[in-house]
Amino acid sequence: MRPFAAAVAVLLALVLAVNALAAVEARRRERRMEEAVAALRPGLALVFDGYVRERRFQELRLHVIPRPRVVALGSSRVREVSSEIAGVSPGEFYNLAMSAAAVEDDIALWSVLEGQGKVPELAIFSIDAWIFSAAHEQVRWLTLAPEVARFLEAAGAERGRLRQPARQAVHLWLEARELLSFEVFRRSLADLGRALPARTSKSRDLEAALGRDLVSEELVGDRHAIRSDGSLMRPATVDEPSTARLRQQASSYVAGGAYGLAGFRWDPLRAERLELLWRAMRTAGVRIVAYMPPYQPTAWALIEENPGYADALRSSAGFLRDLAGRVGARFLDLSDPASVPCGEEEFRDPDHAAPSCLRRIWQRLLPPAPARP
Amino acid sequence: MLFSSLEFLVLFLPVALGVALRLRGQPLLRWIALSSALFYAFAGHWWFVVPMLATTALDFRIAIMLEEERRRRARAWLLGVSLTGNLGMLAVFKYSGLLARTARGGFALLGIDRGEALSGWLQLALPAGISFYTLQTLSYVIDVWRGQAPAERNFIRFAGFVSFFPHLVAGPLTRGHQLIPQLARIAETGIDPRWREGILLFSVGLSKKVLVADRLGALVDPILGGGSLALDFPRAWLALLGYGLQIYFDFSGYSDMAIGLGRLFGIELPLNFDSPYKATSPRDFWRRWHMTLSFWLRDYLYIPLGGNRCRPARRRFNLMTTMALGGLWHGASWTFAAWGIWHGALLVLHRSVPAWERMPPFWQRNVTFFLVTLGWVFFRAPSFDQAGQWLASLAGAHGLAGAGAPGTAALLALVAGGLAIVRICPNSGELPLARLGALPQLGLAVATTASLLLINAGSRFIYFQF
Repeated sequence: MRPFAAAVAVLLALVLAVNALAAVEARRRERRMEEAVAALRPGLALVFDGYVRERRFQELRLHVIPRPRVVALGSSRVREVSSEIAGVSPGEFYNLAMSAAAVEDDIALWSVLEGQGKVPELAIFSIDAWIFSAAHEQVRWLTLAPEVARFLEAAGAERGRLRQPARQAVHLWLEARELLSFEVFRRSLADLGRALPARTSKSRDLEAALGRDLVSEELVGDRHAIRSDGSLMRPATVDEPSTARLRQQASSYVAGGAYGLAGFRWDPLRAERLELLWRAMRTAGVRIVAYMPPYQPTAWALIEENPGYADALRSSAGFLRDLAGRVGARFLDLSDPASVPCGEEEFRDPDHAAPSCLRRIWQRLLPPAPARP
Repeated sequence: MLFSSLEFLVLFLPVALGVALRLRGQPLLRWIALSSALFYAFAGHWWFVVPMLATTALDFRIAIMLEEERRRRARAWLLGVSLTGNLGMLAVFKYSGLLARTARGGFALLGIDRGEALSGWLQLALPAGISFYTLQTLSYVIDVWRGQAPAERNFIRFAGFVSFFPHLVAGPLTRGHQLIPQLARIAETGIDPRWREGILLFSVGLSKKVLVADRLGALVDPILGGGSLALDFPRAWLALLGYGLQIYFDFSGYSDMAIGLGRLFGIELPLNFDSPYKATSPRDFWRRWHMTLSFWLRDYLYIPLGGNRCRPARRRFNLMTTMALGGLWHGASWTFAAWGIWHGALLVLHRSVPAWERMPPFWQRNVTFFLVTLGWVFFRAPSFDQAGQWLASLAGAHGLAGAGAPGTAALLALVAGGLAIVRICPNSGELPLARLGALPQLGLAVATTASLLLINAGSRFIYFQF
């Protein structure tokens, strides 16, 4: 068995080495990002290749932005909303959304906002049903676990002395297992491929690095970027998917479990935490508007055909409606795209609305003030 | 927790095996039962352990009472209690939803709405592996009742037999006389792991599951999971062949991993697959596919019903009943019963057509493969409507030309490769693992490393909730 054992050991060591090297490179990039976060001003965008630690970015960014009047919270489904789409003056809006954001992520960001004395007037929550599912793994928030623990302790909702060490252990394990993931390996190879030319160039100093990272919004081109209002810019050169492609994606998406709707199991703990958060925000004088975002029409039709998925959405909407009533918030269930309305082509994929649809959603959420006579 | 997860491979297995290697006697058996219960608790909900413990305690006690009881009627009562307890639990957890759905449909036909009253039964969680351990403990009690096996007097050893984690959630279905003596042996001598055969077989199973079954699933599921199964002719057939291969590689891969893990603990679990797609008749197929279940159905259902020793009409009835119940065992839906009935009909057909045996083996294999593959429609389709749509698609009713959907070329390549493997290559039971050459070992090492990288994406075994 020696050839087998030796070959597995060598191959695994190779993977670990590539991922470890890429992790070192990522730390270097993160230090650069920390500098860039402070220098990010309206009109500029922070460009990034591949992966960016969004949670770290938002946490850092909240320390340097002025107090926003309106904030958006939620997952990647609201990530593209900019002050222009929201219809709020630049400087008054900040998008706190992060990919796969859980209730705990919102708690952590609220905790930072409150700690910084930057309590907004209005918080708009885009809420996905899967955040209430105990069957859907939600672990990215563990990066912000200390903030969450602080909030829960203050609210008297942190039960058990071992919770925090247990969370740290889980987080450590999850980070460790990343070192042995195909996706991470693929990304690491790409990261290292990009980093090598940069290392050989002469402009290694911070100023030049910042010059590469921070560009005017018009110059972002075919890269991903984050605007100064926290919103995401997608590469301009990416072709919009055709209707046929969108329908096919929708069918695969629903067949694959509709991201967290398959096996939906109500998680009372997460529901309780959301209530704690909303109550804390209302006590601080924040107005809350929450909505469930729309699905692409084909995906929506298929979801409606599936009793389990439809039940998951219905029970989540029911809970949110009740909770909104209890805490004095406003709630809209916009899961059905016809309720916005958003057309078949106004989506990037089965569950991410394109800017035209997002604009219409936000017009529903923030109706323009009536003109004064 | 799945075998194909880093949590199992990096955290659970080294600790479970490492501690077991240092123990002997009762502490070893206690550790096996405890670690298996832990594994099971992490396989779903912690409360899954409760029905398993109830089954274990009930059948342990009843077997001893059966052995001590001489009165025929009292023995029948005891057996009845065990059957009611085990099958009752299975009925509540697994089939109450099906019965409630059926009742709701019946009431709806009469214009009565009973949806609210029945909704509680529709949402019961199914403890993983309950179908497997129920059959195992049932066969044990029946063997004791028949006087074919002694009752186990050591509760911990019996708990180890029921819960031994390699075979707990998806088999192979193991009989008491196969596992209990082996547990007694390792308790006495300590574990003597068969490292080489265990690790290599586990790696073969892991690669089958992750590199073939999961890849096939990723391409087949989008075709079959979109609601309507009205597909064009090429996609309908590709999806069917792909699914037939996916389920084989998935389940046989899992069985290989289970047997490999057993060998690491010095335990030999029974073979579960023996190249089923090389079968030359439906009867031969069931001697090669999920063998431990086939043999269970034969010994505890078909033969007690009368088996072959009766008139042809009764024999056909016995076959159809056994296969229909066997189908229903696979899942709580009438489509699974239809799948079983389909196989029952194939077995009857095979017996009634003498021309079958006169066909050359090449054609016997191909006809068997075709008929078995066609049966997967009922296994995979969520409803009879969708099964009907799919069957119509297979006949070309929804268009003959493919639209060249994305992923088709990859699926075609995987199906072609998979077919070549299942029809030509030796199966994992036939591999000479004890003297595998350096080159095949290197190939297996590359496949294992790739699998280890890919399992972080996470996936479920098709048979996991059975």
